[in-house]
Amino acid sequence: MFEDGDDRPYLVVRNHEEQYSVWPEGSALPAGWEGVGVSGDKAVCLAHIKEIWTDLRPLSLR
Amino acid sequence: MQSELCLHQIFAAQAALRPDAPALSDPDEELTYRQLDERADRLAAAILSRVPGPGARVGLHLRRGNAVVVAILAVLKAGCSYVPLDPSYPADRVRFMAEDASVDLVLTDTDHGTGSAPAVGELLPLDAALWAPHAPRVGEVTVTPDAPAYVIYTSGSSGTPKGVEVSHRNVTALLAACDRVLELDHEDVWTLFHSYCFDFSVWELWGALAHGAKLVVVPAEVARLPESTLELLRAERVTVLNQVPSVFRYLSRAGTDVLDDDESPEPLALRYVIFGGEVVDVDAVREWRQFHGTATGFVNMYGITETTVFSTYRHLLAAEMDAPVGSPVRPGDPDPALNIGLPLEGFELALLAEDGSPTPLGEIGEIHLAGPQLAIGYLDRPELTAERYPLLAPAGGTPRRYYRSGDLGVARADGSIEYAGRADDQVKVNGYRIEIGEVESALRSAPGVADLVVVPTTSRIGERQLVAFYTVPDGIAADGVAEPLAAHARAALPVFMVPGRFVHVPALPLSPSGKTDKRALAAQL
Repeated sequence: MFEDGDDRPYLVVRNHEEQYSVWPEGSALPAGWEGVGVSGDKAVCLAHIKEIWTDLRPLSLR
Repeated sequence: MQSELCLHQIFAAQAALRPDAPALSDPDEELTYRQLDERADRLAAAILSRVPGPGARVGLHLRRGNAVVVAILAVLKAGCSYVPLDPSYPADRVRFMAEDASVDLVLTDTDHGTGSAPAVGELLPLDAALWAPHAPRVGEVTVTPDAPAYVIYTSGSSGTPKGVEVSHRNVTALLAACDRVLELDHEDVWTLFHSYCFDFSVWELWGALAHGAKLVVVPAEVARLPESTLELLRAERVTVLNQVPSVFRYLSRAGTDVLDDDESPEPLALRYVIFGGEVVDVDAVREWRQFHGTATGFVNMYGITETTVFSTYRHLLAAEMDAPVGSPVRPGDPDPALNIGLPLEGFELALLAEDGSPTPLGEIGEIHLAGPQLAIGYLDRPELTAERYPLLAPAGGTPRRYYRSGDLGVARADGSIEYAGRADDQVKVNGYRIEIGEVESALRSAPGVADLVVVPTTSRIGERQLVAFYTVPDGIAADGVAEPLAAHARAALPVFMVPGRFVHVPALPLSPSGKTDKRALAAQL
């Protein structure tokens, strides 16, 4: 139960604090979040986030 | 109400209000709010002169005592965050955490010196000269409530522990939410019963100091012995005690053998016992109340380090606690062992199916939590942070960040949640979170081991224990492996993660799906 065999397509999204997350592709983007132009299955998106999200603090703290 | 203050500023307000009230004690010394404030100010100045500046991370490698609390306050006053590095953990693990958190400074006990402390960053032994009256006090350091206050490491399934970074605001949100459901004030006496490596201690420390109450540091040897704990509760007139249920089970039985004596002991001053970390042992509560009376309230709090200590609460009902030992739950009633009650103020709790849709009443879903207590994330692990803190809109509303707990729950018609186990391989032993995968990965590399799995078991008296089953390579005698394997485990893992038994098997059995059949292994015991 609840194992991560999730192969649905996702987008990498970012908010105004430059925090990153994944969001199901094809669903309307949530307010305050924008796509960064990367999509793929969850593993691909998480790997991309690992590359680009180098400072986990909210933007206002950097 | 969201606080715009940092934790050390909340403390400073109490120190200004009641400077001469007792703040902190251990067997050696009692400090007033003013004394604690002055010590922490001076230590903060010493810290700031040794780190690049506010925002640095400072390791704490200290035995239990007042110095731990002085050090935590001082680190926060310096605008830094603290990283617990328990001296009782294996040196390799301590070094891993110190390096992973890239601490700039490590505070140690004077007699530890450079011996077992990690060689990461500068070492500062806590000598009393650091807070002598002539030592300079720190000036005002600008810290925002969103700045990190601490990084606490928890077990990681991939084999290495992971640091959870928590902000001042996360903790002040916890304190504000708990004030809505508990009656706490400056006359309370709290214990610091738990290690500062375990986030239960965050609640104990700030629950006391944010209310102007007194915090009594429980020495490790007292915390280990239920009779001594009981004695301390009586002598210090403790009013608020936090307990892991499997530890409270022993406390509830301590002292009951003096019943035969004519002189009945002085009643305890306890107002609350607050449970966290495990399913409640309701019979232990019943035994306690039969012996000590019904003046103490019992509260079950469910929570996770990643959502800042507590997320839900439930006051146990008198009818549940004063029923005879062994009473079954009546059909339709909440189960007082498993019911974790309602979300604390500020939390939104969603039970979700695997596809992310909300599960209907009465069906099992994974507990997801949103709100101001969601931690900043896992230190330097963006992919894990994005995975465990997904953006979700379960009820179709505005999407927000949730924490995906891995805990399963069922919603009842009364709105409360009943805990229904784990969605993964995590277990708890004495309230400590353990990822089985981390234990297995640490032990598979032991010499003489071909393959190994770890299975959580429950003994006849209800104690959780890890059992390691291992195979040896062809042609190697199994007899000589168990002892070095146990030694390897003790050197690589903290005590609570070391399996209690090591069992050699000729081969690991497979289930029909091709995975190791852990149930079949447990049945061999």
